[in-house]
Amino acid sequence: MLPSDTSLKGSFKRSREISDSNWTCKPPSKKSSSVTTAYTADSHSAPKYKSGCDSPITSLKNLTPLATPTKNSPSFEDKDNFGRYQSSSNLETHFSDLKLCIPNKSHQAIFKDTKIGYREFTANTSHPIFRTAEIVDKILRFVDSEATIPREKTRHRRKPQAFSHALLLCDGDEARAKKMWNECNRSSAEPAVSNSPRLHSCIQVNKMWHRIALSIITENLYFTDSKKIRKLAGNVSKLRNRLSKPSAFVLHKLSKLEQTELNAFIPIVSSERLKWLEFYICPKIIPPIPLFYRSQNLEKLVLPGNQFLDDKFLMTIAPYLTKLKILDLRACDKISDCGVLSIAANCPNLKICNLGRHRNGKAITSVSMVALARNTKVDTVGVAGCHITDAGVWELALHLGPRIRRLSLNNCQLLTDNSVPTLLALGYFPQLSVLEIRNLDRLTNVLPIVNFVRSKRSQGIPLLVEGGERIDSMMIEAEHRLDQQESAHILAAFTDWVNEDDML
Amino acid sequence: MASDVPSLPPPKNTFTIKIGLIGDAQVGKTSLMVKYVENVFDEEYTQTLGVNCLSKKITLGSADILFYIMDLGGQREFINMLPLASEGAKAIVFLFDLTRPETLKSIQEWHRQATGFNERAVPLLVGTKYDLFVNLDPDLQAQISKQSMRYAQAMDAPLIFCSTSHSINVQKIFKIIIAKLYNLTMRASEIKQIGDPLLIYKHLGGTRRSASASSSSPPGTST
Repeated sequence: MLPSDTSLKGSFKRSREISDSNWTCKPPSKKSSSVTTAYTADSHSAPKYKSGCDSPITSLKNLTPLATPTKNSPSFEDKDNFGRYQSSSNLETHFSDLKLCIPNKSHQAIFKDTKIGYREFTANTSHPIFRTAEIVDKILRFVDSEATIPREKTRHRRKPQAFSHALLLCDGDEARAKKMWNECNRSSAEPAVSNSPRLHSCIQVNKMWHRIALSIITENLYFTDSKKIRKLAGNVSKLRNRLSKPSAFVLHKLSKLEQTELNAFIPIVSSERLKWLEFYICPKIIPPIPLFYRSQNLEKLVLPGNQFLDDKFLMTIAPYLTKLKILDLRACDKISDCGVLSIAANCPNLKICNLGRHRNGKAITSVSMVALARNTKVDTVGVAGCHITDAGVWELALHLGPRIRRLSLNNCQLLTDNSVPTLLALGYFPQLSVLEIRNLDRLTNVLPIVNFVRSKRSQGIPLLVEGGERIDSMMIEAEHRLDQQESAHILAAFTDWVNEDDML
Repeated sequence: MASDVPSLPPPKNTFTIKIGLIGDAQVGKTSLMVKYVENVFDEEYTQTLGVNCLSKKITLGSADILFYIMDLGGQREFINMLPLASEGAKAIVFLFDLTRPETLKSIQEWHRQATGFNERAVPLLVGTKYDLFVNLDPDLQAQISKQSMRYAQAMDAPLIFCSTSHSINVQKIFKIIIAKLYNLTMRASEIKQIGDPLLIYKHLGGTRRSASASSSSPPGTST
């Protein structure tokens, strides 16, 4: 995996090239016998990433409303067996006799000026495995496996619309409803960043460690801070050869980043390895089009909340997105049927497509729905707030009904009883596990939905229906009626049995 | 005797009803269970070691009833297994031998112990071996009948005299359980004539016991 570079072994040199960039780190200050704890000593809020794998939707816990398509992260080729071990204490026990010599504060003071002294120090006391590139690579990957790319917070349910709705969702349990209502009123501005261990301190150990750590870190580029990305942008040309081609490039809420700064990243980012490109609420930037020329293996494109993205952009990049599986264009108000059409025509493998929006819903109509239904294999469709008609939903059901797992139709005001209720009654969406139908004012017939929920429940299959207050209360009422009917039937059957003639 | 544990989990709309059979040794608890579930009667006595259980499914149009019957060995040494038979049971059937009045007296203690573990179960008082009972001296029959009626009153439990070997009132026991559990109207007429197989249920055991309701013990009168 890595060329072993014997000349670098055991040598130490502070890496000034990047020491001013965002990756400036103090060497770990604690003396520790465990590799893992040493690295966690320096927590850093720079890129996070994850070498995770897909988990199929198997339980309600894994089901999230459509608004969170980032739940399924693509699996990366650099998955490492080391990453499968969960606890760092494992490592601690196995390697407890191995001393990684990390200078503590007093050592640092002594060796700061005497390079040779430090080298001898490391050479004499550190275990040989910390001087073998392949092993160090494994160790660092293990340490890094706990880091994750921060994502939009996943929700199991949408927030209740009012306290009365919360009460409805909690079966009238007032204490629980109050808690729920208070929670959703609190500002949900929780940072997506987690404090998992990072490899930045490893960059400072020696040249070999620097090279390995840097290449691992840059396999997944992730930024939440525009200052940091700016610093790196300044050094791109110098660092270019030492960085890995990332498989994920994620920018999280960088509202100040300018397009020109971003363009500097094209040479680093664009490669056949890139599978995941995400600009989450970065309103001022769009992915540079040249990026897509060389990144034709892109599987996940997540660009929610972008006001500059337009149909022309989508039409230009669509031919390069033949492997795309996940497309998230929530709140990209400029995108219309035209852009979706070009995506549908070029991305036959598309599985998840979210076009939900609050503004300019009229731009997305049943035309998009028909295009997706006929040309792709979507199982998750989000068209919240769009001008979809019953005909569009029917088209989806006719072409992809058996595949559809998640359907978000919130605020689609044109929908009536003739689509979702009718289709469910006819068994068109056998696999549906999340159905969002909030604020569909023209939907009145909830009985087929309730029957569908009940049949799923009796099979033990979880199903989430987000109906909003009006539809939820109608569904609860319908369910109550059905329950009463059913228990009346059962009691009648019992009474008949009780009054039958005995045979014994 | 092989114990038959019902398959888990029960399918849709199956009402699983656990019933505990409790009473002195040799009153016919296991016989009653086997007779009801398999419609077989064996003259030979087999001591129950610990707990036996059998299940019987009644398939009705819109739902199934699964009786899950647990039969506790009558020997005193098995008293520590009483929770097994009584906890979670919807009904507890207290059995005594109509030909041995002392087994009726024991019901007092059985009832006290069982309600200690489960206050909410519907109690039933069942006198067994009615076929032998009819051969007893009529005065003794009357005495036992009246005594058992007093017990039933005190326990607020339906009273049934049955014969497993002659198939008298066996199914009635389980139908009364269902009728009492779900408050159903049962039309079978009561039998109150001394010397007949008594069947008194309409005004007994009708109220589901709440957790707080203290169970009344049968009066301590002797025969």
